[in-house]
Amino acid sequence: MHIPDNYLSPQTCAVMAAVMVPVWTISIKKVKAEIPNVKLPMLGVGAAFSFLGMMFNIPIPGGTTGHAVGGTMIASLLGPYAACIAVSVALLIQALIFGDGGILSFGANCFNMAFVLPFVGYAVTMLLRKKLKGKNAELIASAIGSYIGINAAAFCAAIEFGIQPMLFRDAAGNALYCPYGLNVSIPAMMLGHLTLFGIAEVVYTTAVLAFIRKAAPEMQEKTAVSKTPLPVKLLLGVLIILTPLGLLAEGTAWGEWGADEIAATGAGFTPAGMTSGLNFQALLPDYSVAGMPSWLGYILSAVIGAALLIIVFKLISMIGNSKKENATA
Amino acid sequence: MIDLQDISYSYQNIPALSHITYRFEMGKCYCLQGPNGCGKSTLFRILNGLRFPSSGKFLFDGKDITEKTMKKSDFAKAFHRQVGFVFQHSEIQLFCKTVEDEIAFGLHQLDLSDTEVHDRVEHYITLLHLQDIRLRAPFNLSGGEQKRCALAAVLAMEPPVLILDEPISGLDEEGQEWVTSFIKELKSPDRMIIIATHQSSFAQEVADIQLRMTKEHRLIIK
Amino acid sequence: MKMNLELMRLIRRITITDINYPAQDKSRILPALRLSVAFLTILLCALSRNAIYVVMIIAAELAWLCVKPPAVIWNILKPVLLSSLFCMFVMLPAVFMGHPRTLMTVSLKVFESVLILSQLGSSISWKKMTDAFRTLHAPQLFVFTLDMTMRFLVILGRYSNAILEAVTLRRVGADHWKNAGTGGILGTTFLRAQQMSIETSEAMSCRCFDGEYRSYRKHKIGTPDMLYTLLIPLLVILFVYTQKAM
Repeated sequence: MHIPDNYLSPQTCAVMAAVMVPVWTISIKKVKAEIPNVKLPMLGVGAAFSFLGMMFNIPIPGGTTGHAVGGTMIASLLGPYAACIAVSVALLIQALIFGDGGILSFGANCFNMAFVLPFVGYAVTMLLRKKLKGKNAELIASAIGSYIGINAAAFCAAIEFGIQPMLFRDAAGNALYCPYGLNVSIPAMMLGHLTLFGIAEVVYTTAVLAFIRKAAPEMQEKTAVSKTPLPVKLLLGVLIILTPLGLLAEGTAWGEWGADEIAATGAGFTPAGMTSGLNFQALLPDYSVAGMPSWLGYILSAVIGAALLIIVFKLISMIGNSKKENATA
Repeated sequence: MIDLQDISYSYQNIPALSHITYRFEMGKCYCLQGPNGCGKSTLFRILNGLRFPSSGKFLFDGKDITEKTMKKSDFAKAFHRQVGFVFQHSEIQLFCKTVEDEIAFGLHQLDLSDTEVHDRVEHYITLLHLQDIRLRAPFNLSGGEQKRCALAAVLAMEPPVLILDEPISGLDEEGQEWVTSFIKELKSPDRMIIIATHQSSFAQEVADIQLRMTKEHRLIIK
Repeated sequence: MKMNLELMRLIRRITITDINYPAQDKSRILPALRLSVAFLTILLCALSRNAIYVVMIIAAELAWLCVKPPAVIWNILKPVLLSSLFCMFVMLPAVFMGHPRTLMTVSLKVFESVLILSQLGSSISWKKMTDAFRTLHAPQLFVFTLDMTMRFLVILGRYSNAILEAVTLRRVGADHWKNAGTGGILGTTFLRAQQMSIETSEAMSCRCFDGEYRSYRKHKIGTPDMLYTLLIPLLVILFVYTQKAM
């Protein structure tokens, strides 16, 4: 679901970024207020899980791939505002270092995966928790919530894609950016997410939450625990080693083609905005290193991405601590 | 043992010591008192071979200690081996990175075997109650701890002559009491102790012979 | 006054490290061995003609770093980020000259080198670090100078801080560095440093110093050291393999 650069017009990107600014501001305020500083590194762990989830690509017939996001999972553990921040940072690292998702379209990607997904997922989860009864009510609620969340996000992405050819055309009448209108984008995105990708999100969310409930229940408490429990660390390690499975799915996700691929997908031409748009050279593009076997590149990228996320949130927790020290001094 | 024959010393025409003649004997504890600026520290530096008299003779065990003789490294080393000096400000003379290294430093210079170095270091760490701080950096210790560390470092070399410059200055009451009783235990027929102090009560407690330096930079027996 | 604050922070770090030594120094590996492996890694990364080896080392280092407490992470990353950013700034002309990859490659190598050294410095106490140089047959004078530097840093730092406090108490007027008599403080500290160095040399000669500067405590080589030594051939093999992959 990562929208690359040049698929959305700069105007669309600007609007989406502008929408996200108050979302981020409020989320940061809420996180500062509700989550104690010592627990902030948990956001890093949550972000790492989300990051790794997004590396497992799943193919569907038709040749495209998709992935889970894990936003609802984080929201179930730490709240929707924390999930928003965690997924945003994960998307930022993916965009800057791995070239997964564009720089200009960062706002749009965050809108879909860091705002719509966790908030819708969380709302549904909370609603269902009240309604459902039974031992596994919470897990089922999160599962359904995550399914609806990812589909809501996919729907938003589809709309963002679909309106481009309507609004942005060149003199010849060809689309400047994404060439597929709503009649193509919505079915294309929703088909995958209503089926396999939605299931993938459900499976990922349920599996991780169930694991945590069993092996590290203290993580579910709002206040306790500042150190990541060992089972969670092990799970992260296992996921990192398994990431090369995501390489088995050949084919690019719908809407994530490179400028060279798009003509062949059926558009018949390469939109002008893509050939002459922003071309950002990421450090480890597509989670690979030139010359390295792709499975090794994938694992290393997983290690680097997860480690960076954990480090970033640990440093953020430290800033909060020092500010509090200065305030009370 | 230590023979001062008409010693005078002046620094840039400012007199510090004036015609001092005295003989220090083994087995005795001497306490030297005097007002500030009378020349106690200068005298101690001469006794340590760090300064040399402008006139007169300083004989140690019959040997003439002069700038020329001390230029020979074997001679200087043999002399310093016999005289142990604990400075007033211990911080100055503690330059190693742990207390253990500090005590072992002098022993390494004496070419002792590793076993002997180890035995002596352990002995003096126990004697001076330095077990808890043996791995600490001396420059980070409190005043009392530094004093004990300096004492251990000097005593480990087992010099027959021990010179202490203001050993209880800067210490709290407990520290002063401890140093006083420790010095009393150190007294023996094989050892000469020379102490500079401002405190008459301390001098009276430890000294066998009390000396006094006057404002005119002369040495008199109290 | 900010400079003084920074100096006091540094002295506090040295003091805390000293008070917690050796409890905080959890590494049981011979420091000289760790130093050698660090130098080897940096050398191989510098010699690497592709990014594979460098990225592998960075991944390993980041994985090691992310489990540390936040304060330790920040202490390690501060110099790394500074030097990497400075390097990127210096290499910026490469982008305009049409070699953007050069900027990335060099910056990555700088990032990796400083990260390794910073990580080493945080996990080995300065006391063991100087011993490491001694084991590697660095001249005793070099080791002695390192130890003296730490000592004088703390002692003179405290001394200059005391003078600064005295000046602050006596000052009348605005709180401005020009009124602080900074020149006087620095000058006095310098003179004191000179005096102290003479006194230190006298103290050393009083204890028969003739050039021997050894450590009392000796590290006993054990299984962890043997296992750690295996890293050396491993790193070399990995390096050769990744160079051939190009």
